[in-house]
Amino acid sequence: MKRTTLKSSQFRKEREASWRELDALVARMEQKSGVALGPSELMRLPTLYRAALSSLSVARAISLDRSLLGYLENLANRAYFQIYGPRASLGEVLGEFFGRSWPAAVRAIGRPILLSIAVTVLAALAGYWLTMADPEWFYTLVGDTAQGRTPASSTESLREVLYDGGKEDGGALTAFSSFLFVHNSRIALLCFALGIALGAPTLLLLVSNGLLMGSFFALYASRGLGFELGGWLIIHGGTELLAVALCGGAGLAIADAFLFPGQKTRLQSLAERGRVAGLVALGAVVMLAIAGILEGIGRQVITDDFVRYGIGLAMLALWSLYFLSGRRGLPEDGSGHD
Amino acid sequence: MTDARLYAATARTSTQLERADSGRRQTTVLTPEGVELRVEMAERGERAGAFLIDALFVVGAVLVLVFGTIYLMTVLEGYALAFGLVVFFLLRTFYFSFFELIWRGRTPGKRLLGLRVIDRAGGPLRPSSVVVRNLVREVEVFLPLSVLMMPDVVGNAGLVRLCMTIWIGIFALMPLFNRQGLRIGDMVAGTLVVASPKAALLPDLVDSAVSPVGAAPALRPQPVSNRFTFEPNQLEHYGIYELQTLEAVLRRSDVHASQTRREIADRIRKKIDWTSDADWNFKYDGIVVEFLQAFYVAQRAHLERKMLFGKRRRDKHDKS
Repeated sequence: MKRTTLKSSQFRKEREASWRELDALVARMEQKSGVALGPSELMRLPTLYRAALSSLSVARAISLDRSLLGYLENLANRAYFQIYGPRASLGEVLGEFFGRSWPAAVRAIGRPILLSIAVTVLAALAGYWLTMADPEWFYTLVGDTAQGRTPASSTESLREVLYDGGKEDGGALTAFSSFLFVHNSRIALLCFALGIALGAPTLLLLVSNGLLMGSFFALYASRGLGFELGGWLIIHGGTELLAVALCGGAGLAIADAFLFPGQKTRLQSLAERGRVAGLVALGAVVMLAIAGILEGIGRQVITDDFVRYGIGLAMLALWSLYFLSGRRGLPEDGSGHD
Repeated sequence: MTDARLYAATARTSTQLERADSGRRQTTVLTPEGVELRVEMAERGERAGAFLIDALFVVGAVLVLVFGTIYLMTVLEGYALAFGLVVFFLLRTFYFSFFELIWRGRTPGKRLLGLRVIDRAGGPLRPSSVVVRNLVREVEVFLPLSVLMMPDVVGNAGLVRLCMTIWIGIFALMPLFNRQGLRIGDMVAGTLVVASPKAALLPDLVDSAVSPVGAAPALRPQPVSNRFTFEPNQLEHYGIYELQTLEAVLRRSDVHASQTRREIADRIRKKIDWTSDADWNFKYDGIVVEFLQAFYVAQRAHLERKMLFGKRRRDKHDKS
């Protein structure tokens, strides 16, 4: 009686050794997260991976052995995770991020960012104009949050707030700047993440932020302290407001991708734009850390208006140079893979 | 019992999201090499579990941090507070991103439960995707928490609060509203959380006999018996679904396995009208297993041959 020989079991016998070899390599990579393989093994890995993938394709066509199919599927999966997981080290990721992908991402969503700047500026103008026309608006737009500074405060006490730093010791100033950083970062990240809600909350946040600033400015300008307040704000505010505008722009970009996906599906469009927008928002956190230091320490220590203006404007110029120089467009998403 | 019933039951029509053997739903991912990989999606419960584990780690780290800061405050005052605030923020915001970056898509919680983040389109998982999917947690987790814990100040009572809860609930509960269980972060980053269990390569049933004790690896693999033979027309009754169910039954080794096998053997013999000159006693599990495996080999050879000619008979109802 003749023994049945199956193509599929013959196929398995021929290829099994290479699967087991790949299995062992992948198992070792799964155990250690760092470089677990020697150079010659690293050379073998892609070959074995492709061999396993082709085995999988063949097996699907000729074999009905469910255990074999399951094993190959799983092996290919695990090798795929190892080969296509984020591979770069943390240092590489950071270098790539600051060197290329962050500024490129900012340029890629330039229009939503400009829109978010425009919205903020318009809201600030509106706040300024409203409060100038009727100081009562200040209570609506700013409320009691401004450390007791209201239209009822005397000009002297208003001035005092602008220059009363410097008396605190270093520890308290550092604590103050880190508090500011954490607070502002949360707001900025929220600004970005709320872009999911079709951008409406992002716009609201931007508008209320603008109104508040405009109204505040009106209060000081009405007492002839506009120039001084400008210095007090711009030393950190240039960086901080830019960061908030970036996050707002990132949120609006997400909303745009979801609302107007064009030829792609909504999910595809969201996924592509979301990555870029997220890079921008992440960078904004870094900017806010710098702004926190400028605000918490720089502003308290430096009380000269012109130095304040000088630092603030120089920071703005630096940021613009950083974002606007460099090639246009996002080079293949950029981050850390080859 | 269940396998026997399954075997007799009508094969279900395959939907787009088939279930894997483990009961998880599957989806396909196209690798850069152009091969479709079938991946098992993580269950929502598993993902919630992984998140809770990670949350516990974060909370634990924060508690250590708080007490450390309080202790340092006595020495360093403001600097310790500044340090504490910033580290708390970094921990909360970047814990997930950090681990998913250095561990190829896994956090400690995911690692414990065997889950992993992959790119939904099948490409490499980019660091930017990892960062984005975790930044969005701010809206999904921390915003709802802060709304829940918000004090009832003016303008935040009753109806307003209810509206906010509903509105935010939509974001937090998004995984319940789509078939792939994507949360908002996954949508924005283009990622997918999958289960990555390990499968072992079991011996081929075609060339190593199963012992009645079960599919335990025999020390010396025995060749499959050829005492049972089948006519070609006897192999026209079943399709791939039945074949693979039979495979699963042959590999079983639990206490009910022999009972199930006996029932299936009876059913098959009746269906294909199998008779023999010899008097086989189908009361013995050894004989039953031998018969079933012989039938499995013959049936698989038959179906695979048809497959080479482009005919894939899905199940017994498939008349192609």
